[in-house]
Amino acid sequence: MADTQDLMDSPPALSDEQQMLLMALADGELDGDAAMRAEAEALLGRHPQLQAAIPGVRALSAALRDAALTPPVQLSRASEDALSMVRGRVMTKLPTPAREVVPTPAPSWARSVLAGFSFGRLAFGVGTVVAAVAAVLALRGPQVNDGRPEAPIVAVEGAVTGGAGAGSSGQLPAVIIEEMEIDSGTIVVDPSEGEGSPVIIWHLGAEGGAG
Amino acid sequence: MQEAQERELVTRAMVGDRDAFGALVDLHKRLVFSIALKHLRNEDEAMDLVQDTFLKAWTRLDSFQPDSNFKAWLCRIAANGSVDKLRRNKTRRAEEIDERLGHADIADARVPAIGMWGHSDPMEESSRSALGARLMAALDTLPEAHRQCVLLCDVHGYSYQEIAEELQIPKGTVMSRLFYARKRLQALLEDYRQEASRG
Repeated sequence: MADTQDLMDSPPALSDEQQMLLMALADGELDGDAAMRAEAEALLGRHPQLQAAIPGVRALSAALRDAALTPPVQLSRASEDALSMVRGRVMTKLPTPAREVVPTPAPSWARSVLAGFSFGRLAFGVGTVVAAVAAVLALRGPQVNDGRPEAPIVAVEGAVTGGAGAGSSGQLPAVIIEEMEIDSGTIVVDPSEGEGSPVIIWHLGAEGGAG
Repeated sequence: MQEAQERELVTRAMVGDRDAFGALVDLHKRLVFSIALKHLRNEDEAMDLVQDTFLKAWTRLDSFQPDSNFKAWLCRIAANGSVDKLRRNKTRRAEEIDERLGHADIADARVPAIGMWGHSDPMEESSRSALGARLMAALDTLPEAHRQCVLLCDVHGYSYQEIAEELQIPKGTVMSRLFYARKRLQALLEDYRQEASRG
């Protein structure tokens, strides 16, 4: 009893194991361990002054979190320069997300080939045909980066056609790319008549099987 | 930026809006760099990790819970990436030396018992930024193995079990490293605590 009183009056000499136990209690690590928790609480019961250690551990944790999650106000010039380019570098490397909507199921490599072609309703003016084909070729470049060999576009076929009412309204005729052959298959464009302009729907399929 | 605006950017990014994701990159790149630097202590490696973190975030956006904290989620990706990078970099010999030095330093330090500095709540009595600077400086003096445990537990909120899995060490080792690391931090900040208590 006298020993207990002594411990109450002066800071108890706890072993490392006992201090670790209190630390784990402060960290909320004993919530799922009834036996260890009971042991820690019994320790606190014997030495109530140790209750002060619990908020102490938590205060240290909070201070560390605050300090670590506060970005430095001033970085070196080199780091500032590099950080200024992060967005551009990240954006050029972003893969096409699998969640992007594609009309029919298609393999991921095919979606990569079509990156940027998620538009649903497009008609190409005659004057922009060359530009459109150039855009197709450009899109084959850095975005096709999924480990598969690149798929060169063998041919692009299209038809010059008037959109609905094109002639009467004086609009330029439209060119619809109907089919693109690549070395791994064929991409076929299905035009269907909309109310005002052709609707282009992309379909993907194995070579010879698309439609 | 307001939380609502960030939430909107996240929502848009989750449906594939690359511009929205780009805005999120701009918004958080300094923080991610800061986290990576605290783990890696090498600016070039930290900068590489910033890019890796955002690329991983983009590919994992499907798994992000919209009502949770995007910044914390991003920091976790950065922390995990940092630990992976350290693991790849580290040689067995360096790790052993680090571990030995760490325990030797602590044994010599005669540090005070756990929790004896927090009672007077020095943060209310002194500048938080000054304390933060002292803490970060103190953190840098810890052996790498101990610093990783402190960062994962105190900064990123990992449980002991999660740290054990991330660092591939026993849970008891996590507890031990945390304990000695915190004692070390308390010892290094003891003069600060005393000043704050007097002030």
